[in-house]
Amino acid sequence: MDNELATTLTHTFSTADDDKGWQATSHVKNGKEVVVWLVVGVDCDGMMNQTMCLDANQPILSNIQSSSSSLTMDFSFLHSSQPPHTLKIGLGGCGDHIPSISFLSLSDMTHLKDELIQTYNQGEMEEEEESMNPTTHNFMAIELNLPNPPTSNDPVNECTITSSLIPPSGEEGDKMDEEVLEETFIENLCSSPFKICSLNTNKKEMIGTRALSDLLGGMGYFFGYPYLKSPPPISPNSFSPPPQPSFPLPLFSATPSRVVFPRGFIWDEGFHQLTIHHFDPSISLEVFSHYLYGMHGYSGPPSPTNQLCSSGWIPREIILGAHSLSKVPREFIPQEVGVANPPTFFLLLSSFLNHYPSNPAFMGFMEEHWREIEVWGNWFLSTQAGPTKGSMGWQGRDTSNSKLHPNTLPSGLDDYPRSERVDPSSEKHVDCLSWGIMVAKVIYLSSHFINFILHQSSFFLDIREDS
Amino acid sequence: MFGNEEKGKKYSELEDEMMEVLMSEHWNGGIGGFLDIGPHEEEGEFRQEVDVLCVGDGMRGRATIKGDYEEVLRMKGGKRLERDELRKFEGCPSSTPYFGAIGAEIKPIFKPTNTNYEVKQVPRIGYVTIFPLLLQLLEPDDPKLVSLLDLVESHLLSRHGLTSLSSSDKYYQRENGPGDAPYWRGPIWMPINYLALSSLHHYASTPSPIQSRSSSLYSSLRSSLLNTVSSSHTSTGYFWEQYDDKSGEGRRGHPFTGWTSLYLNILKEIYH
Repeated sequence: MDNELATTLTHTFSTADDDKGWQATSHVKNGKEVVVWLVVGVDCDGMMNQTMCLDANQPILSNIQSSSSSLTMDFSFLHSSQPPHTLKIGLGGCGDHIPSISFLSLSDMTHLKDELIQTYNQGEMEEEEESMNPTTHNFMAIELNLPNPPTSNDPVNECTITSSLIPPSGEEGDKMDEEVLEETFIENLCSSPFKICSLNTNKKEMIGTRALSDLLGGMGYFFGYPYLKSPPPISPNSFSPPPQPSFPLPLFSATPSRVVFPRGFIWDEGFHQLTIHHFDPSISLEVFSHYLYGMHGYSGPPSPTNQLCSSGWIPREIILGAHSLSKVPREFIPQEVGVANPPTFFLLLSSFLNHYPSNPAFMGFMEEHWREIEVWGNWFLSTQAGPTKGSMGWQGRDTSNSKLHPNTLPSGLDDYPRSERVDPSSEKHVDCLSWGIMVAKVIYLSSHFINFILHQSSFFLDIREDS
Repeated sequence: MFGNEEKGKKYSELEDEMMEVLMSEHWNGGIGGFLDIGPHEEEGEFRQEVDVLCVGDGMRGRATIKGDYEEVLRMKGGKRLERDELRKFEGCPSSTPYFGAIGAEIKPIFKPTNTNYEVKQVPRIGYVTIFPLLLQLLEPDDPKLVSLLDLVESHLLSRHGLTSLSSSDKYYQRENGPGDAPYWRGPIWMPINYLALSSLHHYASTPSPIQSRSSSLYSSLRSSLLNTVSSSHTSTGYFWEQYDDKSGEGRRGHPFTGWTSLYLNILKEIYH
């Protein structure tokens, strides 16, 4: 390590007095070569996400050493005007409470197609080391996911992380940012249809504001390799090989709970965005486009000649990166290709068409993504088609006969009772059909809307004439 | 340019076809709701059965020992299955570990009186039964809406919101296996309640035979939901994944800051 260029930042984690979470303190020594953001969030269950973002030039991972009680990683940084120097991150002293760690390195925040170093953490530390290309990375994020804090009886009550990096502008800067953030939030909320203009209003409005704030705060940018389910084993006694990660995928999404379910759920997401798009339409469009990109990915990344090669399937759950993976039991990680979920994004589309048809961002979005939307909708309508013309039924009901009544996970209403026997060749489901009708309706409306955009015809007039 | 007009036409025709199936095949006038169709037996009783899980090589298999709980216990002298016994069962790999804590698993089963499993309408009353109402698929003057509102009021409306399954249903609050708590079998879920409110709001704003009834149901359901979520938030500090239909208390995942946030839409009456 080059001590002249790098500085030391030590964070000490210890249990808080009330045993409700971790506290972090940092001791910073001199230096100014790289910038470190340290975000500390403590949740009610004592789980803490520790995110450090290093705006470092071209880090190269040179060594990982881990044991059951400590983890050390060495990075080299190539700085254009400086000789190479090294970042050393060490974690130790946590006893059995070993944090999982994940990190990614990106060349460009807006075009996330780069390599990821993955830690597939399932109770124990396991690393899969992949090379980082030294010429393409200029951003790195490190996330530590600390397990429940030790109890007061636990002899181990302190974890340390040491790194060779520089702090941000300090506590005062953070505080200022927080005030600015709060001000901006309320300003936007006030000018949105929600029209809440103060944080100190009546109790229900305060809870409503909290709901939106939590929903936005639960959003995340995920990156990783989705796992897809291997084909079924040939005989019942031969087990299928472990699922393989597919291609790299980015996901910008809200989460049902950043603590309990830190991943994307396509059926939840449409509902999340039904709240968010009234606050900021551009967030919802960005999120929707990410899910649509996920659809492309499953038959290979899109290319100029291969834009619409996809079958139209989007996974029910999009689980990317070590943190997301660590919250899902191993057997539920691989997504079964072809299994549907209620296409709630069509409710979002319907809302945009109703409330914000002339929003320029929406019009641009529709021009860019209309064909993908149609592919997705058509996929739903054709693959979930029922046994007779015009009927629909959820495909992929549980056939393991392991429950009192077979689940229907594709419906989103998992254990809601259906017919006692599972039979795709005769089952017809009311909710599946209802979603199908809604999808057909919204695609129909969208096709008129697209005509309006492309030919400047009258969207509203067309609709009235037809209905 | 992309042949969008023809596309639109295709989807419009498809919509008509599907509406036709919805009305002619799924509607049940006696119940006053829309029913799933499939191979089904409604009459029967719930029993307990022994089922053995086996695990090997990190994958999950399932043994075929099944039978009446009392019988199997008698057969085994009331003991847990030992490792060697467990391995004998078909389907268990040789690497099956000993289930010290599990041994034989007892699970509930439904034993139907008849086993014809004729394809027919499945008489459940819950969220699925009113789905066309939830997604605003019916014209305001459709008389089916009157029946659906009756059904909502008599079966699904609780003091705390709409329950996912009628309390008269045989699956109401019934667990689906050992430790597999009822999920969409009674508890109140925010996204479906949001859809219901959005729908009632829509029907309350259009002149029709159900306009005023929609309006009053809308108001009472809205205030129930706002109270459920806010009082739970006040007492616990959390938004919850679902709410108990009897007590209104938050249940399962928390903090649940996802679709329960539709609270804000409901509070400010901003729908899709």
